[in-house]
Amino acid sequence: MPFEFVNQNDYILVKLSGECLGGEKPGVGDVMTQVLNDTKIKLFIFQASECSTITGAFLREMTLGYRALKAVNGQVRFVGGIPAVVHQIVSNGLDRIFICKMSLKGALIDFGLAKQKDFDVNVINPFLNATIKVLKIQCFLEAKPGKPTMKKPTDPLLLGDVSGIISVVSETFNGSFAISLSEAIFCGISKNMLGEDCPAITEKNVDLVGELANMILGQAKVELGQLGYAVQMAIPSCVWGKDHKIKHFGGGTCVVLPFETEIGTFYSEVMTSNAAINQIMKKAG
Amino acid sequence: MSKATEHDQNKVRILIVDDSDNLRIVIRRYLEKAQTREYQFIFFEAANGQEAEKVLQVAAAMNEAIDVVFLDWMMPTMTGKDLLEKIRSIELFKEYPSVIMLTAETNSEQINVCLKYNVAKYVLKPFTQEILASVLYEVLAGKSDGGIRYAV
Repeated sequence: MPFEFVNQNDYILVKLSGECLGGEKPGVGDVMTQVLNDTKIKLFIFQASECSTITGAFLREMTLGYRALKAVNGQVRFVGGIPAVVHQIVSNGLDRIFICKMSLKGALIDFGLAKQKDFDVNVINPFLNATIKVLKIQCFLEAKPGKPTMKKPTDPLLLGDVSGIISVVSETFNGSFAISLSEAIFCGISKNMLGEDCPAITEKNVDLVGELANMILGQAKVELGQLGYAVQMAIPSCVWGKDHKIKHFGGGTCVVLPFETEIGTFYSEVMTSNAAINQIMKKAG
Repeated sequence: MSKATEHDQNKVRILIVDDSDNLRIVIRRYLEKAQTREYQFIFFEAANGQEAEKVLQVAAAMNEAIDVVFLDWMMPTMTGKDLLEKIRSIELFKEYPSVIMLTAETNSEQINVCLKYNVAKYVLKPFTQEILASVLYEVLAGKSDGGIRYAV
């Protein structure tokens, strides 16, 4: 059979594979109705990443199952389809019923099932790599990443003496990025970049950390783009002073990345906004 | 070679536009190191597009037109893109000065938007002294092809 129904407790995952031609016995719609009746689970996700072909006949049988689901206010999402498969859904006018999502995560967010786990850890690496690159090229400072830790999004305290923060805005992912430096590291970087001693953080030189945040976001954008996140540029802001605080935009999951350098440790923070993601996904749906 | 350098082979008037005081200093330091007997640089600075426009207008009025602008993209008050759009609509600045965009913006679609405003080169931040010097000399040699340069 080109389909397999897997009970995931909160939702039913329907794995499609190979050629979904229709005419199977029992048909996909019949099984869907049966599973609905047996489990009472009203959320179905069709995963089509392994599906090479889908016919109008198969889609019509899917709609039979959808009718049973609609009667109990259930929902369907269709994820991971190759362009030819998605085209078949759209050309049959079924994209309003089988709402297509790029990923399983997108479908789970749509269903409100990904609230606690929708932080895509893959977004961390672009910021980590970008931080290392920017510090190396622009500041002549080698930075070795340490073990990332989670921080409460409500905790506004930063670990450095000066921080640059910049918002991260895209169609599918919102949040913010911050780089937080001790005064020693700030002055070391300033000396490396400007070629003269920097005795302290001042109003005149503090913009340097904002510029670093800006460059890191620009570099991270390249890798984020490869992950499907088209991030927009923004203007950074700077905060400094002992025990200074910042409020990340949104208030979702916050990851702290420590970096070791020859002049001490500094920190980057990446925060994603769950609320923003949910809002955007609902709008897209 | 840009228009203004025709009147004085040795002097190149460079306007650095960036909202970061530190970045303007870094760019200036890097370019100072790149001076040769053939080319001596005179620097002007602006913290945003609005200030830059004034510098361009005043310099042109004094018959000391700016030859090359190193232009940041993301700036408050008036962005680099807005400045480009504005000055290229003015007859006096349609072709000159040569503009080198110096930006953290890595999105190729966004960068392509600037192509229509006659951008000589793009340099992606972070950048090295060697990259800044080489793009400047390429532009002074008339190689203004809108090419993108970045450090690896």
